[in-house]
Amino acid sequence: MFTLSLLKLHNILSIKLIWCFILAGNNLNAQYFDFPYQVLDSFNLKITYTITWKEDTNNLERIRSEKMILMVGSEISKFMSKNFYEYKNIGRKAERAGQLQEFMDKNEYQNYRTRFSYQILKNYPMGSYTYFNKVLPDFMQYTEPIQIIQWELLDETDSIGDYPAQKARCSYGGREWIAWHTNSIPINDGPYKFQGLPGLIIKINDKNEHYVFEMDAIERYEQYFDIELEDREWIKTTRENFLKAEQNFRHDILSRAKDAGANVVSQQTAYRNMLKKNNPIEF
Amino acid sequence: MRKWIVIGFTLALVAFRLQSSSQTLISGKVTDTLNKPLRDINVMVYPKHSGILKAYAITDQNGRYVVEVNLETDSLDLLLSSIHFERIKLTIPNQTQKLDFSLKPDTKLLETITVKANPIDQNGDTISYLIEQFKGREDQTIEDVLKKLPGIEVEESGKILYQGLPINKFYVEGLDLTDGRYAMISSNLPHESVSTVEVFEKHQPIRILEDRVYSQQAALNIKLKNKTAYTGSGKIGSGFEPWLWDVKFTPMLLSNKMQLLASYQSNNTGDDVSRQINRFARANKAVFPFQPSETLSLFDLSDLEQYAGLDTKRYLDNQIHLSNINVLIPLKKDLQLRATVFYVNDLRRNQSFEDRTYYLPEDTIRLFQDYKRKQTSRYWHGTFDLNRNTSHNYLKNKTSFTLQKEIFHDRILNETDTIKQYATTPYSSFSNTLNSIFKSGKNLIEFQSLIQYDQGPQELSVAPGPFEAIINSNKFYDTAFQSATLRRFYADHFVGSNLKWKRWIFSIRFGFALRLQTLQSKLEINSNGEQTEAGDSFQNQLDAHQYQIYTIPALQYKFKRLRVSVDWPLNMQQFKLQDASFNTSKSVSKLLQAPKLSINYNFGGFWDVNASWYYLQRLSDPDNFYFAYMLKNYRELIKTEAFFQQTNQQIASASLSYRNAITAFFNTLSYVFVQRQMSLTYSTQLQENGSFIVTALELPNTSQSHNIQFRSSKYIHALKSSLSLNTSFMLNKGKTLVNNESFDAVTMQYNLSPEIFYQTTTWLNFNYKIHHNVMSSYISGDLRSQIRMNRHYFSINLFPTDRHLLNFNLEYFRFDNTDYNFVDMMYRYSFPKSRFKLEARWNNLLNSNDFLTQYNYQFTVLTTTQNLRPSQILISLRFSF
Repeated sequence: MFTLSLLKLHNILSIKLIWCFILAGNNLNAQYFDFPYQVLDSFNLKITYTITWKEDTNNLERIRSEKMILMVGSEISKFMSKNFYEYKNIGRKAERAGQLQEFMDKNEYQNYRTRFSYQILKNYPMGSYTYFNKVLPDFMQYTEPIQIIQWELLDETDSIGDYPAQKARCSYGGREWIAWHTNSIPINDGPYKFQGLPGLIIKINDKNEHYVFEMDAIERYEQYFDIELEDREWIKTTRENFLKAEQNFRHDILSRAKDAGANVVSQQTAYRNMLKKNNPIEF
Repeated sequence: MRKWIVIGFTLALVAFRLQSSSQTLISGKVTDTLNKPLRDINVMVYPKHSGILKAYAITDQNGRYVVEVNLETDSLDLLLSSIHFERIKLTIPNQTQKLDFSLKPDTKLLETITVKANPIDQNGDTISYLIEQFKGREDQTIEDVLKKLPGIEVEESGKILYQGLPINKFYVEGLDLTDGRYAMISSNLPHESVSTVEVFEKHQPIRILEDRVYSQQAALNIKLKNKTAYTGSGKIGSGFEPWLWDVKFTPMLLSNKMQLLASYQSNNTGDDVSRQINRFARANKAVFPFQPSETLSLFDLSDLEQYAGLDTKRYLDNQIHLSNINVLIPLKKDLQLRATVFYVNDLRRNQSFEDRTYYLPEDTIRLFQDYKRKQTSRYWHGTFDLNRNTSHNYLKNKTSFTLQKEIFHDRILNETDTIKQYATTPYSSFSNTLNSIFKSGKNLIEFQSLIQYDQGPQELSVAPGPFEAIINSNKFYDTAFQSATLRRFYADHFVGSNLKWKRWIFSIRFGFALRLQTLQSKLEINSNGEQTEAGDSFQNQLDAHQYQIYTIPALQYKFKRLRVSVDWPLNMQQFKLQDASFNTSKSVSKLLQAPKLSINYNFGGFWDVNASWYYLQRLSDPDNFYFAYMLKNYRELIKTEAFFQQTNQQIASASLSYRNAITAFFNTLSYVFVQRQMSLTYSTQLQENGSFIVTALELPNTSQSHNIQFRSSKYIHALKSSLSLNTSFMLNKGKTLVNNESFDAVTMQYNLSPEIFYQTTTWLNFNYKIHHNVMSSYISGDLRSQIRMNRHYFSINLFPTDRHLLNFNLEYFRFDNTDYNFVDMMYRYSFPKSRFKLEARWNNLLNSNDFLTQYNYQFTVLTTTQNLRPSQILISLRFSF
């Protein structure tokens, strides 16, 4: 469990040295990827979004981008980072084949870097969404009713990509959001926690354009894949408390990095990196 | 008081009425046809005839919905939509009402919305290109689409490059059917059968060596839409003038278990279909041992020149027939049998005018000649191999044979003479390679056996007799007959091991190679009908024995994305030459080495850096020895007595590459430096008439070359367009010895070629390419010649309606002060509901009949005026199945 937390810490902090520490620990008996999980639903429709964001308000020129995926099941949908999803999958495959060490040696994570370790399950439980994320060393979850996001339809229409779309507005998590949804794809879902418009949200951004989600692909597979939820000791909390915990983590980064076994240089790097990440999507 | 209550009540009533007049509530229940409530159905309200959504609701788990409408209009449009059920639209009056619906399932919508996917995707070391996103309506084969993919280039020959390096495998559904002769598939497989093209970066084709032996090259994998595909393409065409034919028929059966391809192609339209059986992808050869050349050319009858960027179809006068079969079948689990057999029969005619200028320090010699050639080639080739490639075992036994015969009829007209040259160059070869790698504990054991034999009794005759000063004591003679037979046997065996310990990999090979060969040549002269031998100094009876004992130790360190490797191959060579007619023998023993250091580092996920340095020593090839004179062609006589040439070569290279699949941006920058130190200098004695005699002198000689290249390509998704840029600079420096004078020769070349493919609208797209090329040559520091070439290539496709395609090709060349223009036109009609297409092509509309190319060698500038194919019209029926 502890090693696993470290592994996740790596994702958050991008401290490569901690990675070495894990490998040197040689504690490869623990489950890395092949973690027990429950199957909540299955999907054969996958929507890919590109998230473009500015993580440092002191340096708004620095724009980052990543791919995110929305797996649309018959009841439940799941939204998370594409790299996170794929890295977990290939890692699990390697672990099941008994080739975990070889897989680690390949340093595949370099190809699957991500800044986002959250998973959002919508309509889980029914009529609500549940947000899962870790704030080291804990794994946390909270649930809110779907109606928390109230949309206001606007009269503006346009075509986004190849789709006719209409504008809508909402206010959530301390930001004003502008969304474009299309009835050509009558899936009432969207990126992040956003959903509930009559048609897929193909673009959404906050007023300042610090966070922009744009759809770039819809793929349908012949075969169905599971929508999974890892069996962890998820700590149930509220959105407010989660944000608090995250903030505490940010303020306490030095000692947490130290606890994780990072050396002084890495601690400082983590601290500096964290200072640059001062623009969370919600506050 | 009561009055006030009444007024208040009335006011409230009025207010309520006012409100209810503008707000209506539409509610109800949505179920399926079995009366099961449906959730997540969108119920949307629009003012009548408006596209602007004003209110909506989404049904809950009981199928219930309530829409509040605040609109003044009389009637409303109500729309119900969802992915799994039918879409319903109806007009209703704007009043509060209850409406229940029962929906029928309908998944058509789902099928139509799922066409959009990422055009380029990256998963680890695999990059996938979605063909649907790149194909154009003008494209037919997968090769046409590959040309548009950013990061991938397809050369005119059909060779495929990824990030500037040739691919090392071409798979279809993970199987390598053609053993590197992949143009047979890529130029005949209709793109409609393909769903994605994958690039496996840094691909090691031998699975047991994955993570042990590094490869810088990538492989390409074609993923089909259907797991088993009967596909292929064909064409029947005819035209004039003269009578033209163009027939192609290539059916294929492709799956991930078994594959089959057969092909018959024939034309006289200038389409060199034999390029499809060229072997473009092959495994890298180890530095040691030195192997014999792949074919045998005793005479110097160089092929048609490549005319600087000019499409072969413009000048090639051919009559080709090609038959080919490729089969790949699984025998047992993991064991595959693969066979390739092909036959080519080709007749080529060529007429060109050559203007050759030799720049010497003191002198400039200029010669003109008119060259006419008729060349017939027949070529049989077969390869059969048995293959097992799993992560714990590798086995391959490959047997191949080649039978080939080429006949040349040349007529050369220069200022004084008409020379007739005739040559027959049959060649046959046989080889067998057995290769096995298996696991022994954590280590690998490797074994290889290679045996090959080839021979070529070849003949050349030249009339009137050349080099009469040397050959016939300065007397005129009618014909020179040069006959030469070379027989070569070669065997190479090695054992090796590969050990892995933590981050270190150590491998070693020990091997022994043997080469035995004999050359028998003699020159006869015919004067006034009388045939005599030219004498002993024109007779080679040379036996060569070459023994090589070699070892290749290699150490590799890999940590994360850093890889450092050091190889230090050693080769103990013994080389013995014996000529029976001179009764002399010479031998040499030498230890040759080839140390190599290379570093590779991958960072940030997108960047890759490579640097390497290596030093290679080699001894001249046994094929290059002639104790006695030998006539190579009508103007070249060679004698390279028994000097052993040792070449020490130093190669340093560095490259930086960036590729980002998300932004579809691919770049590489590379630099290569080569320094060659040779122990011999070849001395050329240039005669007045342009013929020359080559002899070797024991004089050290150094040459250097620098080569810088940059390639970049970018795909812009929104415009469905791509941009690319290739640029290079090359510098060669060396010493040349001509007519006993030694001088420095420097050639410099730079190239710039930007290209754009732009999808303007759905009915128009175009491709524009520029090649800018400058070649300069300096003799002893003075600029002697500078050749500038600009080529503009513009191709435009118009689609007036779905079934019609109109294509114009415009090419404009400029050499110094000469302009060339070419225009081609093509119209294609696709028949409805069938895979037939009718095509009319008019090539070379302007009937441009010749083309001038200039080329720079060390001290020679060759200007060739090549006859071109005339204006021709061709009508053909194409089909894919």
